[in-house]
Amino acid sequence: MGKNTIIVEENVGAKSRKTTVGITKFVGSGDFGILTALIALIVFTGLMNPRFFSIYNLQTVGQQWAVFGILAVGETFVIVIGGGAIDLSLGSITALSGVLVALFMVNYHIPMILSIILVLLITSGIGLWHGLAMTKLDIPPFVTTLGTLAIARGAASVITHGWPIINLPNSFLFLGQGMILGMPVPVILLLTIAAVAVFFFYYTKYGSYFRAIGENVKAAEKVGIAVVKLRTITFVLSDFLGGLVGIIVAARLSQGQPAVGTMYELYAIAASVIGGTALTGGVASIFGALMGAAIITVIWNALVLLGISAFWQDIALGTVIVVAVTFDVLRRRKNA
Amino acid sequence: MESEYFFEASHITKKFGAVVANDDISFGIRKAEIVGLVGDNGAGKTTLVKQIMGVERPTKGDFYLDGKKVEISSPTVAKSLGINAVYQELALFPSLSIVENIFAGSQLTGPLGISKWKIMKEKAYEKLRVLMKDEVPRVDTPVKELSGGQRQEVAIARALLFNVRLLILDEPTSALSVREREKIGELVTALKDQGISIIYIGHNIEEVFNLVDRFIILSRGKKIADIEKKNTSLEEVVALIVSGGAIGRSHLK
Ligand SMILES: Nc1ncnc2c1ncn2[C@@H]1O[C@H](COP(=O)(O)OP(=O)(O)OP(=O)(O)O)[C@@H](O)[C@H]1O
Ligand SMILES: [Mg+2]
Repeated sequence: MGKNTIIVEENVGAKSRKTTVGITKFVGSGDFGILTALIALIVFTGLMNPRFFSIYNLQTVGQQWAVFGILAVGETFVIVIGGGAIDLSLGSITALSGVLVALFMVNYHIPMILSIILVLLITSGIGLWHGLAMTKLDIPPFVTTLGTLAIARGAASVITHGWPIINLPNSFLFLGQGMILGMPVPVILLLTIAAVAVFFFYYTKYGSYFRAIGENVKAAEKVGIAVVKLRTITFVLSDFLGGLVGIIVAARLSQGQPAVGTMYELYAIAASVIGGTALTGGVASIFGALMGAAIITVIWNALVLLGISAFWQDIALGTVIVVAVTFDVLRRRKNA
Repeated sequence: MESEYFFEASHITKKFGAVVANDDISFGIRKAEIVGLVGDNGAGKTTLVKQIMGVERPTKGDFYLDGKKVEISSPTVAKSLGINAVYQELALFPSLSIVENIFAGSQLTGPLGISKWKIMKEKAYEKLRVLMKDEVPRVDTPVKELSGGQRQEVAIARALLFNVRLLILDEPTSALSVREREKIGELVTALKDQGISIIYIGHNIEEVFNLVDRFIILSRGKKIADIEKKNTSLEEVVALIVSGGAIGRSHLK
């Protein structure tokens, strides 16, 4: 008890004091640990190959961080609601979305903005299906999203007959390749989404309710939290963001390519877990997910810079995922 | 005729497949009355509570408040009618803070759904100060760091957050120390003095007997007795529960 026993005046106390308390809290938190790990990784990679810090390489890292980071935010929203919620379809949705936006613009001559809106509606619709399947039909999300993993990838190949769709308009490419003051546009999109997610997660009632549902769904029902609605919304959000990433990737590659995004769902899950999200739900950090995504991106970039073959990259990232989840499970078991 | 009861349950039946958890249960609750709802494990007490709270819908039967039929379709509706409950397993969220737990399902929000944390923290603190009297933990402490008694008080603070007319306590003392149990007893009496009615569920019949004005006894989903404490004895209540009403006396229903 003891140290928790402070009266409310302190809760509402002077701002400077609050800030100090905030910093002390942050240093002791998982978020701080993950930030330290990221910085160590960056320093190590930079020492091994100073080219890491070249502007060009940092921009490449930024673009890839945006891709993994946006997916990790979506995945975090899904995982936190618990009950076995997970989205295994994000990589395939990335591919389908990129192919569809290219198809709409190039083959059907639909204006760019309209094409983007259409694609985001379609991927959100897929999310709605995943959400309703979990909440109304009691189908485990693992099953429905695994189904979409196969179906969306297959659909992307069927639509394109396996070939990329090229000749995308220049204004569209800006979304993936553009720079504003040396900052890649995808990074700006990532930071915008992160800001909205942080607002949603920490400043509105929804973040608190998501964690409540993930931690104790029966109790959440008893206190009148709209469990069905909120669980469904998280899948819509996740697959909306998957659609957005597909658009960014298509713009970056200048093509709608059915083979992109393979295993991205795993990277998103790994980023989320490395960042402190419990696979069992209830506990999550948006900041942690972004840092987790950055760690995965830096590892990926380091392997490229150090000239290690692509096959080893999969093995390395797979190992990181298993190690991160194992540590997470052990840590939680110890705390329980 | 004006009813003496402000809250009434009429012919409540709840089936889970073949299981009849509540079988045609009717009763009324007076203002500022403590009613002990007792019965063996699986008698149907919690099921009845869940229907009063709108967590479950009755298969058959209705509820009346001030003589008017009410559709309690969700816990939010129950709360707005002045009915709230503290559940057997407390229904808390261990890794959420005290204030998040107290306002779970009923956060105060401004435009864009922005949580009014400052006001909620003050209100949560106020409620806890009244309940806990002595040491009040910081309201942003995770509930998992609290003792059993403190958790109980957080759950009660949540139930008392809104103007409550009928408070249901489902086995509020099963996990508590003797001192903490006494505290709950004092609290229940104090609430009654404020005009709040209480349905008190418990397995320790002696403890319940000291607290309540009336007993409603369930057995295998059926109401087998509804009796004023002054017309019965501890021994009789225990005998009724154990025998499942087999020793029934005609005046009990
Ligand atoms: N959701 C459900 N699905 C199926 N059966 C249920 C459900 N909820 C309760 N039951 C059954 O209904 C009956 C009454 O259960 P209930 O929990 O209401 O009893 P109780 O009087 O609260 O018991 P206890 O004293 O052990 O808390 C039991 O047979 C129980 O198994
Ligand atoms: Mg019960």
